[in-house]
Amino acid sequence: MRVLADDVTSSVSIVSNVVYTILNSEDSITIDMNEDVEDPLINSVAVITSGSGLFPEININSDLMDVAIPASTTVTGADDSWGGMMHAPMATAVTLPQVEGETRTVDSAVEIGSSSIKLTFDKGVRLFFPGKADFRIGHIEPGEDFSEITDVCDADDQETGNDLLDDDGDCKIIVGSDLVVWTKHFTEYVVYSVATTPAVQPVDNGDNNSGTTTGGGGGATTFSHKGKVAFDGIAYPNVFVNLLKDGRKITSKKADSSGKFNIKIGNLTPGTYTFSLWANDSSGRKSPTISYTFYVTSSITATVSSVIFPPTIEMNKSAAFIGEDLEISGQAAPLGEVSIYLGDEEIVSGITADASGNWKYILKTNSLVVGPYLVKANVKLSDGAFSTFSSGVNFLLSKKDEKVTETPPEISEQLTPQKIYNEVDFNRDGKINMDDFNTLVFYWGKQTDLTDFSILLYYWTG
Amino acid sequence: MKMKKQLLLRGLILSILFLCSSIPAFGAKLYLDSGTDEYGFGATVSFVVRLDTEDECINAISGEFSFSNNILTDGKFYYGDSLFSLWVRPPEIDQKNGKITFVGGIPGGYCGKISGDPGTEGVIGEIIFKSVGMIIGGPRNLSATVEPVATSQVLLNDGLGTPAKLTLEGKTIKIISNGPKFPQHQAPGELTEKELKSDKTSPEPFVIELRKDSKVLDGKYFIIFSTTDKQTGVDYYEIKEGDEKWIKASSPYLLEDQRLRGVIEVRAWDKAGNYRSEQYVPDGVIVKKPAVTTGTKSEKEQTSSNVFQTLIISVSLFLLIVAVAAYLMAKRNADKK
Repeated sequence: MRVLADDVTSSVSIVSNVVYTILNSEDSITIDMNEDVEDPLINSVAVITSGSGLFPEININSDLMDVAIPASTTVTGADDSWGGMMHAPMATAVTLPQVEGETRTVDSAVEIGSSSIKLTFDKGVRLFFPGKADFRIGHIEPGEDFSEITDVCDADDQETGNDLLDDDGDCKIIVGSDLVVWTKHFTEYVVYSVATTPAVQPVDNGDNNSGTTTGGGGGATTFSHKGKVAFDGIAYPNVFVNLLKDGRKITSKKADSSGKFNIKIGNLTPGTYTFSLWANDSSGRKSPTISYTFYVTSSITATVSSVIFPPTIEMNKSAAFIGEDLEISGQAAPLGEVSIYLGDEEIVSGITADASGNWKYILKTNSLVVGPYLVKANVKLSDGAFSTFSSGVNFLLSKKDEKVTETPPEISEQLTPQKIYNEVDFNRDGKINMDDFNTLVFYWGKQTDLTDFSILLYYWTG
Repeated sequence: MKMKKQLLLRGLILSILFLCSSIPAFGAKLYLDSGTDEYGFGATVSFVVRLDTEDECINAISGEFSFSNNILTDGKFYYGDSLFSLWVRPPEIDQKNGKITFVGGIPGGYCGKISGDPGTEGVIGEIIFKSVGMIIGGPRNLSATVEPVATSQVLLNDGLGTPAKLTLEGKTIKIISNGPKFPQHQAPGELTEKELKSDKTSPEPFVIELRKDSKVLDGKYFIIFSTTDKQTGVDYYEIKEGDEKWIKASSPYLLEDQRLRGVIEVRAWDKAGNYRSEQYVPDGVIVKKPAVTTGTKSEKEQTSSNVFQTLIISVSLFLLIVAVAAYLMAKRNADKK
């Protein structure tokens, strides 16, 4: 089993495996991996905050590969829980999926970063594989298929590396007898050779999705053109936007200070997928999960543009007497105009979110009647585009009389979003994912039903 | 767990809430599409199950359909391209009682086809039957129906599990003597006979996760897993613990070996006979086989067939050698005499 670096920051037994500790973002570092350390770790906790931070220039020299990270490179974990521990290059054992028509033989497999959390960089990182010019190379992401690096870099320089389009971007280039990869993410890299199997004919899928290529190891092989998907839009400032594929979290990326984000993924077999996006705002309030279901076509990048996250929303009370003020607040796209609705009726618009995305409204209850209310909000950007509605929050308004004195009657504990959320977060880990789904399936028809399933899907975090 | 009790309470109060908030019960339409109204006898007949959300967002469905089981046989439900990605109950066809059931969901909800999507709108799956062959002495024309029944439910993606107002629409086809033998499909997202036969792609990669939870399965070790297949859909899963045999199973799966002494393998099969096998390796267990393998049923059968052929040839060779040796011995003995 692989060691999950992000899970072991406090583990005493792992401390001895730390080969280097990065203390600041300025001083250049050279790490020589000349000792045989099992599960070697680099500790960058000092420069990482909320899953992201600035690396100094780092050069790692090892027998497996050399790594060059340029100065002032921002590293970001796919989850804000990443604390800053990552693997230095370490040998791993992998078996590649075989393809009809060829035999793949692994030369070496190297893991760097974290096997559980994807680490991405805003600048190109150079990986140097000495003497491997005649080999092919690819990478394996957790829970993903092996993917060969086929793009060839225009040049072996930093500018080329920086120009890589997205987090999944890699390119390779032969330099003399050596193989160089420029990348913007850390993962598990596999160097391998390929021999053709003459007796087996290439697969003809009967469509246009197959092709033929020739690579470093020589010989012909078939492959399927995979599809790519890109998302861009605006969430809340400096938050991690999570991307799910068919309900499973596959990556997350930090939005900038204006809330803008873009995420690109590739290696998708053509077919119908559901992609979902969600984020917690800086106060920990969860956005609704926004889903897009569409057909991914081979060799084409489908772009979902201008995704606008609905505001997050909360109230300071879930029960009040008529005449009391209620505070409704949350976060939205910075400088967006928030509108608030009671049920389907808009009661106020034009509440401007500040530069940090925060917005607030004091609801006067004098003109309202006794009863339960559902409050929701949406946001309008300067270009006139609207978001969908936020999650709903409920409150109950009562009339104060002699019998009821100090506190108004509560609407119901079960009705607050947090209570409903907790009800389907069966294992109480703060996430709604496959664990909870499996519990629901296990108790299906006895203690869980379609209503539970629907609520679980609404609050799904992956 | 107190889920049921809480739900009743919540349902009651939410009903009041919704009445007070004047929120209408939004609509959706569950229907079938066959592409053509007439098929021949012994034909491959297709019914595409669709959902029109009518501009509202839904996230869960419990579907129940009846079908003419005396005319439509050998049914298979393909849901690789379904808009639903999580299945509490994957589609099942009960030929004997003429029923089709499923419970599926989509995290974050589905609000209809988005602009630019090259796929087909609202496809839940495709049911492919064989129509009966020619009936000697029977009627020359027949009709067959597949229709959703009133117990079907679709819920809104509103965080409350509100049922959508559901319109149901079945589909009746005629079976005539000179009708077409195959359905005609054009758009991606729908299966064609050719696509069914040419599906060589294994189910998507997946991860096996080990769990132990005091509230589930008596606090014993179990595994969870789930994957999709974008072509014909996942048919079933098999599990192998250590050196034990492969058995059909589903997630969550209670492990037989609670001491976790062997590699746990899960193999997902699609409806076209392709599989993907993944492993979970407990701490301290040595891996003997590749972590991920893919293949097809035909390869497996081919392998078995090759083993059998090799065995036959080996035995034949052995018998031949024995016979030749016996002959030579007998000849030598005869020569000595």
